[in-house]
Amino acid sequence: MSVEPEVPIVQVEEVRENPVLYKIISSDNHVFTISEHAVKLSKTLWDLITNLGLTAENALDNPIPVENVNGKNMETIVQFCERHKYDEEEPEYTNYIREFVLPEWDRQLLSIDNEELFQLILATNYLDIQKLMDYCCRVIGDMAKDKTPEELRIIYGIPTDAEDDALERSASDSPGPSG
Amino acid sequence: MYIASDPKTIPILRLPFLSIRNILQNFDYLEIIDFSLASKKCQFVIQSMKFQTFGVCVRLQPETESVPITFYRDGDWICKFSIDYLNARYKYLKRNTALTQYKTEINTICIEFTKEWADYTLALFRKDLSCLVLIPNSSTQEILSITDWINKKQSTLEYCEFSGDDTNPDSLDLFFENRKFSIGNLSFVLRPEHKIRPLKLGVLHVDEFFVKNRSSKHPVNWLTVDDIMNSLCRIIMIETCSFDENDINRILKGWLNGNKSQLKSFTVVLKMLNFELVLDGIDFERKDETLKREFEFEFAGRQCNTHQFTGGFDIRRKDGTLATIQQRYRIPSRDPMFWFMMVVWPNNSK
Repeated sequence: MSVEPEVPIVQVEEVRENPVLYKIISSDNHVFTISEHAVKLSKTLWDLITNLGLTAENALDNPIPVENVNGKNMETIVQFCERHKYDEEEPEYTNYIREFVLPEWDRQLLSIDNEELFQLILATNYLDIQKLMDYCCRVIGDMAKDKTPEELRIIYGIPTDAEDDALERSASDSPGPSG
Repeated sequence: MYIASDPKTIPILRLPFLSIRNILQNFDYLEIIDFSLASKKCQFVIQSMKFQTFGVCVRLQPETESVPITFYRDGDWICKFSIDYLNARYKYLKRNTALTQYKTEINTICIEFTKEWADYTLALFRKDLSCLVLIPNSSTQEILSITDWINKKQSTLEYCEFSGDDTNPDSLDLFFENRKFSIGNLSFVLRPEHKIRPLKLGVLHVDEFFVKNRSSKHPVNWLTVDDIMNSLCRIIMIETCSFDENDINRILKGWLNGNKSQLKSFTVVLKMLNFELVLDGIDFERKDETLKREFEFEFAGRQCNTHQFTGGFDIRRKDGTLATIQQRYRIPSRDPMFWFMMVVWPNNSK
């Protein structure tokens, strides 16, 4: 694998402790370096690294293309993973209602507009980063505080029953794959 | 990849289901109800989720109860649905106009209104009603409506309580006559201001039977000895009752002769009994006061306290089952009243 970076490498955070670094290329060809501890937070990326047989020696020569995630989201994700790479494993939540407190640093990181947050969740889901998913979902869940059902419908872009019915009718009226 | 078109909204229903579920796990139960009211699709999402176990309690107590529906877990409430909350959202239920006459006013509640909300909530969380609290002076029409409602809904009810000042014996008789569902724990919490005639409870086929009554002026006299002897209860607890030595003697003899083999404890608050009369015609063994034995009392299927017996009178059935009886501990009341306890030891060898 030899993809030459078309844009400057983004050094999200200087990595001192861990000598093993990996390169990731976003869908819009931004290149990121990420430490081994940080990249392990993404199950998808770590599986990929393992399956590709990347090692400390050849990691930087073999950037990993991630076509489903753009540079903006990847930057947030790399920042998040570097920040939390030495976190202790979270205890499993036993209660239905989540009890963790969202740290202020992460709340700031996720203070982005809703469209970006939506895309970040999709990217996080693809890269399988559980903690970031939990944090994003907390931010979105907090939007429901003190809202009426009508307000929730607006915030969460929920179609009305009539809109859902109309969509279903138009889907059933449209010709299928066989024409 | 979908691109959200309106930057002000975040269309969560277009996210993968696991992400939707994760978002909803950050909601409290009131927010979950609100979300479900936004559309049928939202209801479907909630209905497809698994929730940690909790019970649903409905209080059909018009004009006295401002929180008609509560969720609870391990004996503690975890969410309360007030009349104000339910009233503000009634329009989202989109019920037929025929039912709008049942809408509530401030601080009052209508049975039909609560039943509608209970139906919605129970269906949303795919649950049976676990706890029902009624007033003992409901009209016969209301009682019929309630029993028909539960009869159609489910075959068992974990906890059923009648709580209030006034009692309508005809309605209570009708409740027990019309109900087709079994009851785990049946409780009466009464503050009678006048004498109540004996109720027609039928065979008391409930696991636990409790009567709270702190009025020594109006002790429980609406239960008969035959009600107790014919009952199939495992645990019976009655406060301030009018049973006398002869009544207790009959109950003990009934147990010794094989009645009520499922009985684990029978406790009742009575005036101080003469134990010569209580134990008349019964073989017993008086235990020395130095003998200490612990018995674990239960409430609603859970251990609630451990009582230490000091001495007591042991009686034994032909099959070897051992019970201890004793009357101690005065309760706070105008007249001297004491707890009579009969406990059946789980280990026959004791």
